[in-house]
Amino acid sequence: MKSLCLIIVLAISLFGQDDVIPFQDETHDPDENEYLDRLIQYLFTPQHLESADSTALNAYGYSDEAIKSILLWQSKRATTRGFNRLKKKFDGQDLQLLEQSHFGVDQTIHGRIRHRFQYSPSLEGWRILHKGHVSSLWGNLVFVMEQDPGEAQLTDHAVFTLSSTEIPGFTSIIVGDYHVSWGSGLLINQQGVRASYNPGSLARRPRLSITPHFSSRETDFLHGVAGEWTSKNMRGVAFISQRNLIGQSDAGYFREDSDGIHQAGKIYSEEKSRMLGLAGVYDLSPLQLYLATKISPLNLHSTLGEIGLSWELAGNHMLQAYGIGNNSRFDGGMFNWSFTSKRLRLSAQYRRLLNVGENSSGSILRLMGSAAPNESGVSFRAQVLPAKGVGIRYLLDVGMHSKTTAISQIRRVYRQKAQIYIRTKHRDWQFDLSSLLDGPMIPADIWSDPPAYDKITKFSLALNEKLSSELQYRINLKAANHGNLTSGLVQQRILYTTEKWKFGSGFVRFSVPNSNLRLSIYESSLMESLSFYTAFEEGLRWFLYIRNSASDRVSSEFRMAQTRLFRAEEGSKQLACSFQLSIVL
Amino acid sequence: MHNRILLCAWLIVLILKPLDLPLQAAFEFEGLSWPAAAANIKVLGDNHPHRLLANPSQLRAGTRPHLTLQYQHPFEGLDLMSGSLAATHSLGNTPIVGGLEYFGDNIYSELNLSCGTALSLDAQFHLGLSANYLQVQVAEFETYRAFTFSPGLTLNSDDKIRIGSVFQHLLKTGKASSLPQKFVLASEYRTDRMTMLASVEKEGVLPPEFCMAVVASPWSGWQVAMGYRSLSQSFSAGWRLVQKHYGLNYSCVIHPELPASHGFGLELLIP
Repeated sequence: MKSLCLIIVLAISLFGQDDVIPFQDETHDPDENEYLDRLIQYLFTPQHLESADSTALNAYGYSDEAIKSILLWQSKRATTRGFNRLKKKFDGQDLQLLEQSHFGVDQTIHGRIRHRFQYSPSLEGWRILHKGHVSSLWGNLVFVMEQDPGEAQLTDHAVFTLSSTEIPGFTSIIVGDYHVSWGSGLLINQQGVRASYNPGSLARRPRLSITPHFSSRETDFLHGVAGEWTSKNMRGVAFISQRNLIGQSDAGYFREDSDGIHQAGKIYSEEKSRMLGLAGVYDLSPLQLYLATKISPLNLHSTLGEIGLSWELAGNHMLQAYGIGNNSRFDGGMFNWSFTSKRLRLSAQYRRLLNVGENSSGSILRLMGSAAPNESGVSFRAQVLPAKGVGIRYLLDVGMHSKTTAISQIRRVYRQKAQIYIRTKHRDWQFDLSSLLDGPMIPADIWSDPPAYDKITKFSLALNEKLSSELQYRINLKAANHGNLTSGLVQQRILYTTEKWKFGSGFVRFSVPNSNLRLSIYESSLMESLSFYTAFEEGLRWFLYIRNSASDRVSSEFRMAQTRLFRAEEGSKQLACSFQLSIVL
Repeated sequence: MHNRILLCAWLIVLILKPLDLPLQAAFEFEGLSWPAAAANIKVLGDNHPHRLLANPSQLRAGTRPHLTLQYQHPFEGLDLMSGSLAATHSLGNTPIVGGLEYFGDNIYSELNLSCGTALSLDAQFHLGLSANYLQVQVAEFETYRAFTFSPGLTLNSDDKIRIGSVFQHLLKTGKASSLPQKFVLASEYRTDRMTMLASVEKEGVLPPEFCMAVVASPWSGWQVAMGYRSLSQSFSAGWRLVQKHYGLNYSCVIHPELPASHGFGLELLIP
């Protein structure tokens, strides 16, 4: 479990440092997929401002007021003078997005190269990462090269991907390593989807897009060619992929390495993964029909199809239905409903999955992850904004899941979370309470055993005090309870920011007696080499983060963290450090 | 124009990527030319053909011909021989650098033939690419060969500070496996009479090596250098005399356990 946490931290710590991400939230425990998705969408979704409709503008992240202004500007022939007026009018996130749009951009190449050296105390070695992103009007070029501790080659994981939005007939073409986002995620993994407070995490607008692979994650991506096109009311995506999977073979069963660490001297097996797919959405506003198929030529039984329907009703209601299977088998389906207004957002989902395994790991909401291929359940989300800066959110997941269809294997899950946040000019408060009930539906002995449910309750309270325009202080209190066991965590953090320097430091004291009661905390945000820590056992930890922008083109970051575990006999002190240099072309 | 050049460069990269079949050899000898005196930091530093060969992005248009001939005596007493030849020149506005390096004895030998050029994206940012042919010969056994490509970059942050990096053998073609790749990231701080260099080098499975060096110019035409490398724990020192048309240099590397190594160089600068 420790190594899993480490891998997640390593993977997370890659993400954007200089890129301005238009959202930053600590309202729930971090998740790597979510941030990866945000970053990728942000970097590679081109804004065609002069032709985008309100749906597209909303997806970019513009506020409602900004969307109205942009639509008005479009109706007046989208002139450069009008664009400059929009720039003067907008501020904050809207202005950032506007400046990143393609409108009025000259032919200059923009690029960014990063080199990162990171010491991992658990793996007793260095991890070296190089990332580059070159963009121009013809498209993007990205590369990622990574060497994990113990690996022989500096390019053990290498990504070279070319993408363009200027190929005639296509909205986007990608050659290299990429991701495909389809429909509900039942057929193809969709990154960035997890059980969160956000009502939008259940009923999302139908997605049909391709994005370059731009992370150090060595699994769960496609390699080959992918294309996306639009024609009147139709949008389509097609891909051909062949990727060599590296992993271990055991009794003829191949399992891909999930951590991507390939130690020098160790022998690994390779297996080819070939896949091709085609998907399309027919837009009959307010109705959208979706159809997709995925074929794996090496496996005759793995031809699957997904069919979906999305209906946007008047009154801001949306209804969706998706199903997956082949001509002889139904593998699962889901129904979504959502309602959106200025102050209220509601969503609900019913899903039934039959033997839906690794095809969709992590891509759809699962009660207990992808370990159980069978599941049926109901989820509900609510978000109320009663006043400016005040939010209340509620989450409910109820259902059953099982590894096999045997009744003794079926487990029942009941999960609730509630959150209140209050944001003012000088102070932010946040309060979270959650409970999880998990256990077998039928006890081993139905006559004498009581229901053996595990109940985990978690609570957190956070205060973020803005002491001045440069200095912020944050305190996080978190606790979890499971039977007679209770875990607790207190974190204090300061952040000092000037034009050229950013300084962050924090201290956390934790006591976590059981791995079920692990508690996670942020140490730096997306804006500053995102990292978080998942506490386990009893101990303390401090971190130091320094960032310097020597010029417009060069910035460097240094991060150091030490964990001290009280009970560990060896390696009770672990010092981790990383250095990153970013160069802007 | 830049778009087209970059696009072509990366298409070459994409085409060559599947040919990832590196050489079965070590190539551990780093050379004893003038940069060896400054902890063998070649990615940045004053202009010397061996530095430009290691990181061609330091080349500039209008580079005048500069030839250097090195005689090297590695690990004295071990009967090893080493020598190198390197030169810079300009073809029109395109600066180029080329060189040849030999290391070995009667039984084992390494040969490295390289050439490189640079592209300046603007006044501050420069890219470089070198092509290398490497050969390892073990007498009466076999000869291994490989072609590699090594990109590099240099960024002039301001008049005093420079940052540079090189990815040695990023792309490899050849037989079998294990020619180690190496990434070097270096920075340079320059004053009127002194240059300070620092670098971190990561080669294959080895831990990173931190290197530091100081190059001073106490008198006109003279340079004195000294440096230290953390992993090999080796100290280095040397001097260089550069006149209008010629130059001489000497470098010495002292390893805590191995015998000392010496390098002598003659430079010709053609107007």
